[in-house]
Amino acid sequence: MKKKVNEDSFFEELSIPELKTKDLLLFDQTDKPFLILYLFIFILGIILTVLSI
Amino acid sequence: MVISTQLIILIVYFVFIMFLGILAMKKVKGSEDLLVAGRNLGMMYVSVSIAAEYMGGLGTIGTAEVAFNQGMGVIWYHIASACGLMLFGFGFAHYYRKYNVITVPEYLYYLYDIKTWKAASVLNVVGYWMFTIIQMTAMGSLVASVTGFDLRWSALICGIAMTIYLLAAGMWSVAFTSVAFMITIGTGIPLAFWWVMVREVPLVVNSGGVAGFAGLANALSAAGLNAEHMLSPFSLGFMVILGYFLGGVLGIPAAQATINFSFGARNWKVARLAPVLAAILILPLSIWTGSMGLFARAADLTTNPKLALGATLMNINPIIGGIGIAGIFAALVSTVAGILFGCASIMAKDVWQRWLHPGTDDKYLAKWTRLWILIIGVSSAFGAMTLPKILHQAYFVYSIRSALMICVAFGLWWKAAHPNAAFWSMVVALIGGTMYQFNIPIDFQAFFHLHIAVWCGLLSFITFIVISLFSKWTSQTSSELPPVVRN
Repeated sequence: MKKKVNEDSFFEELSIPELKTKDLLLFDQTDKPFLILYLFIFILGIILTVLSI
Repeated sequence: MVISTQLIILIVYFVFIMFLGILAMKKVKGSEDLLVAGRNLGMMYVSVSIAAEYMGGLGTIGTAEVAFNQGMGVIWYHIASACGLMLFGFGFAHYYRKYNVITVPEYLYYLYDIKTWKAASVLNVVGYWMFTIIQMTAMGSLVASVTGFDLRWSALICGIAMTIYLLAAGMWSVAFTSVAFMITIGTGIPLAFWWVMVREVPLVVNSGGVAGFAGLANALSAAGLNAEHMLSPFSLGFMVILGYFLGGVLGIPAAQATINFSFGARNWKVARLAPVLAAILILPLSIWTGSMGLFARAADLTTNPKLALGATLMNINPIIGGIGIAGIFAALVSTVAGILFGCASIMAKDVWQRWLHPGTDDKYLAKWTRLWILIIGVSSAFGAMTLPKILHQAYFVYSIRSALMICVAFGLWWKAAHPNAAFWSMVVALIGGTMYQFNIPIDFQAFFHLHIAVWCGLLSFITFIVISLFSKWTSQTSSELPPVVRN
């Protein structure tokens, strides 16, 4: 990431960082247990709602 | 105080959450770890944290309160919120993440100028400070239902406990505990809803022994209410539903507390998809909480609408009720944590470090972030003792956020968006919202028949367009702009 000081303010000016392949991954190995949890919660919610109506 | 099964489950859960939050402390080495979890959060951490943050006091106790009073039209609350999250994910998240911002006002600086950034910082701090008070009130009302403690003291104790939890590790505390929150919310609340509808509704006098919404309709009719109206998804009327949509859709894309988890995402693709996954999780919540609020009315469990959800969960099977209460409590803790943290982040990063003490280092920022968590947390805990009416006050806050979203959207997609327009649209929304809230000089709702979110959204939208069209771009204006965005 390139940085240079904007003289008119006390902010640092930011530019968009260069992208690498690993920066574009949506899911990695650490997401798998959470993905299972997500699907479990989602399906349980649907089943219990349908059963209750 | 009555030591019930529900209370024991709640205490065990609370201690567990505090332990997890404090355990995250070892991950914090500098201000970036504290503020954006080192920008290293994966897809599921971000989506679950956003969903847990959004399922707060408004989404649980607040929706049950509305259903208790006005019926199942409240289901639109989470449908509108899910639309807002999807809009944020598809339309905004990658812009924020690509610029590596920490706060929404900081992004407004890159889009506009310094005065817009300052106005947005003040507006955000005021809005979130109020919102923290509201959410702490909601926590207090749940704990009061379970323990029998005074509502005011319950709010104070919960607020101070939350402050301690957040002081440990900032965003890491929230991210670390969000998985536990989501398991508890995602299983506890639907399980309690299912139990109420299948097992408890048939036991209500005059339900005719029928389960589900049919039995609920019988019991409501016997209680002298218009069951058809109360169970209708349109029971709140068009303007209130429109207010939910404008509040959700306009509020979320610039809502620091909800979206700051996307700022901590490990890349912009994760930042973009995670809110969409979160939207799917929150979609059915008000069906579950609204039904339980309506059950409290039909079964005559309480006369206080704020206690509707707590009263329902305390009057069903103690294990199921305890798990449900833990779920509601998890929703409240995650939201209070997110909002308090969002407010403290803006106060420390934008107002304190950049505005008042520019040029200070990372160690200073980390110290002052913690100090502002303490100041805002403790003062909000005392503020919560005044017991603001939950959902009504919150929409005033949403209205302020809608002005911020209008500024971000115009700044991104309209070339003629002028810095003066951004500044004045925020000021006008704040003044207009305050006048509406306190009926100065007239009762705006009675006169215009507009919800506060609609009113403030319209004011800032019109102000922005008019001022942009009539403001001239001078050489001085250009010199005030950040050159990386417009040069």
